[in-house]
Amino acid sequence: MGGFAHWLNTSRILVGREFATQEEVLRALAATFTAEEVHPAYAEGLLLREQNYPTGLPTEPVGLALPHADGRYVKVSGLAVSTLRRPVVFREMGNPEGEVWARVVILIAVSEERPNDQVAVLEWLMGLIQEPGFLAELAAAGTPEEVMRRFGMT
Amino acid sequence: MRPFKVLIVCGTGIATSTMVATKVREFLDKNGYAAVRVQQGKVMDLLGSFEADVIVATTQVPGTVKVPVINGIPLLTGMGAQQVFDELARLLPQP
Repeated sequence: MGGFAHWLNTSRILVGREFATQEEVLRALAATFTAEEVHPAYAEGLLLREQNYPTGLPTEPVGLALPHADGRYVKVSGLAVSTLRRPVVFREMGNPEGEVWARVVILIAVSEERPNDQVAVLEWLMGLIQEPGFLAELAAAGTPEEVMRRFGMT
Repeated sequence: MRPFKVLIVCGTGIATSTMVATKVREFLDKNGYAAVRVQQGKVMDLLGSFEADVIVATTQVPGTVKVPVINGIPLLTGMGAQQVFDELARLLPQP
């Protein structure tokens, strides 16, 4: 089962990138979406949401972040992924004192017209990250195609 | 007697709280806590009046909340889920 892998495409996968700050990662991922896919204020919505409801997850062996803006900024649902050469700090989801050094960032953009997709895509992603080796292999992937394959897209 | 109530909250009351609520319900069913109620909500609801004996949250909860709060993130990631269930079980009435 490919799950939501079809929400990804190689133009929305950034591999082994170097970013100095969380904002740089979020802006770079937001910029992979076209004007047909998200509203002009999407990046701002993403930054605001991350500030109010941080999405860092203390996963092993590498940290993960799952940024997402409100659905009203999204016209066409999709995913974008960045693997990071050097980890970038995110605040931890549900724990204001916690910090997560993320090596993998998966942006989830779900249109507000399909709110049920939000739960389904999250369940799919949580299933994947619990597969042994998934996050490590993702972080080590050398090309967008490798990332696609690891998400189950051939 | 009013049933014991577990309130599951996240930022929007849609995504992570749904996943966590499913896991908590499975745990309650499996362990015979038939009388415990599970409800879902968004964190802003906690600023008004709400009814809960324990809160399981995937987001930061306002400091005004006086009932015990458990961090539900491990139920999303599966890492450390058992500790969350143990913590919850200590607060639940005997099944």
